[in-house]
Amino acid sequence: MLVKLMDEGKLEKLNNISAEIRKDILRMAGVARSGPLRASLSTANLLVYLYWEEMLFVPDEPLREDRDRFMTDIPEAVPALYAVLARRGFFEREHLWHYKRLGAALQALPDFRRVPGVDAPCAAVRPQIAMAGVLARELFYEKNSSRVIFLTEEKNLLCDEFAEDLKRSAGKYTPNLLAAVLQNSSADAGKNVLQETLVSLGWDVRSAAFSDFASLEDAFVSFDFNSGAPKALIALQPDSASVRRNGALSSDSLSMDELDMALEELEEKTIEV
Amino acid sequence: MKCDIFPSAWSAFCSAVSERTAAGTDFLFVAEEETAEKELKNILPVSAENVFSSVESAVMSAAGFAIAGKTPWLIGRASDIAGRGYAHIREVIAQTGLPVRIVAFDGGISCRHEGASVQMLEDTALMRAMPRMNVLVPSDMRTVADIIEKSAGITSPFYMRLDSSAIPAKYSDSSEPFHPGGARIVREGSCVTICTCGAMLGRALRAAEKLEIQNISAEVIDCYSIKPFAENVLLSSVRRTGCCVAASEESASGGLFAAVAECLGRTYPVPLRSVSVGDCFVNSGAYDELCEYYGLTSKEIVDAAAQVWALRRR
Repeated sequence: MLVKLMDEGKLEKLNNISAEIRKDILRMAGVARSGPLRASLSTANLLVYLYWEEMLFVPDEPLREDRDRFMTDIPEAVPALYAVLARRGFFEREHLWHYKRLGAALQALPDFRRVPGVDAPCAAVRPQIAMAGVLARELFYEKNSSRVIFLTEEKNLLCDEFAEDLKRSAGKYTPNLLAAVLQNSSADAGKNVLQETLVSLGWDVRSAAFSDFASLEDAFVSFDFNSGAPKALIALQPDSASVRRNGALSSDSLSMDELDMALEELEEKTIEV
Repeated sequence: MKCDIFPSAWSAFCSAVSERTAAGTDFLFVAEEETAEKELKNILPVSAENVFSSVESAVMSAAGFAIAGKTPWLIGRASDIAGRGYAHIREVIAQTGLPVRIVAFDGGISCRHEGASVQMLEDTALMRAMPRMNVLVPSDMRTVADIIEKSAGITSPFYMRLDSSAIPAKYSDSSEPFHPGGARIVREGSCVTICTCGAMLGRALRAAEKLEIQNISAEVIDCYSIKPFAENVLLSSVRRTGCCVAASEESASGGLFAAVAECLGRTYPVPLRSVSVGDCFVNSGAYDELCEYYGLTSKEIVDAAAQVWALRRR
């Protein structure tokens, strides 16, 4: 039985930050007249937890050797990453309002050599776990305490090649690698299959709900990043994390009216929490 | 494919690596599982933990090493690397400018018995068209060794195509050393410029000898760097000769011929002919037969040179 470690004050703080991040994501998409929204909104909580509670870094020294690294192969989560990095002080929030514009620092996919806080390219090609695994291994061999946190999607596990790479990662000594695998909470049957697959591939697996910071903390506290197998966190994402627009999940651009409505909806949700 | 007794750019690369490994230099080679087992075993020191399940994973892993501050050498067949790995190289290596050294063996038609799927002639064209990617096609042992030596100073990614067919004897030590974006005048002449690279250099030199008998003095340039391209060397040569032939063991579209044509068309138009493979896939067969069939012999170079020489402005 895991002990709840997170107090109410911290929980409230993280919920507030998450709400602000999600508003920023909406504003970015509204100003840019272009998404993606759905994945960004639903990953906001996890990224807030990682960047406020878990990962070690110094925003003023984005290239510090002993920092934890974050990587993702979900291009749709990039707006959330930008919003989190801005709020964490890696760069000015002003940059968010130029998202996707010609010449802007924050392009649709991050230029990891140009945007402070972005540790690796986010490409649409897969399997990127190979890149994360190698980076984790090299950092571990150098006796660097850094961890590599790799955000990916459940559907990637359906690819044989990806599974093969996961198997190889488990065979190599990478206790400092954590794969956070997104999964819809409605897919209970799928959850077991995913968990069994990862365990059979030699990974140390936990699951947690995206929207529940305490559950995320419980999962992270139970991991030993200094030894053992690479870690996997099955992150259950609730549909309610997204904003609904006229009953349909929004995944593309927003008009100004729709942006106002979505922001209002988020305000209401924040008050409910 | 094995390193045989005949010198090829690939065997020159393997020898140069062996020499340096014996002298204590460490190389970080990354390869796909099948390639490592079938082609690289006992030839290159590829660590088992740097062997990956697919070309795509190998490309991703090479990028991971580069992000970790290493300088990896990604090794594979030209058709695997430039074909299956193209999108991955484009997105994670070229776009980010990670210093990954890509070595593609079995370039051109040198993998003669395998047929069209392995004999990829458009690899250099694909890589040349990719932004931020440098393309090198060395022709001799010294250039291969120079590239290995100087690769530490090359901070951007490069694609080095190595032919597995015989290359000419080593240059004299007095010839100009390799530098990225350079070219080497292998034989001086005043009537026609022959630009070449890779395995075609030997045939270009033979063609120059035949042309000499016809009183046509040919200048042969080894264009080992297709991108960046040594435009100054080419232009200074064609200003003297007034005509040019580009001979390479690759598709006519996008490779050396395209680099030469773009430069001359933009700056100094002169009669120009290509000796390369046309718009087709190649068959399997004996190497000499393939060269003959697809027009990649010294005879074709002589014919092309005689044509442009006749067309030049007098």
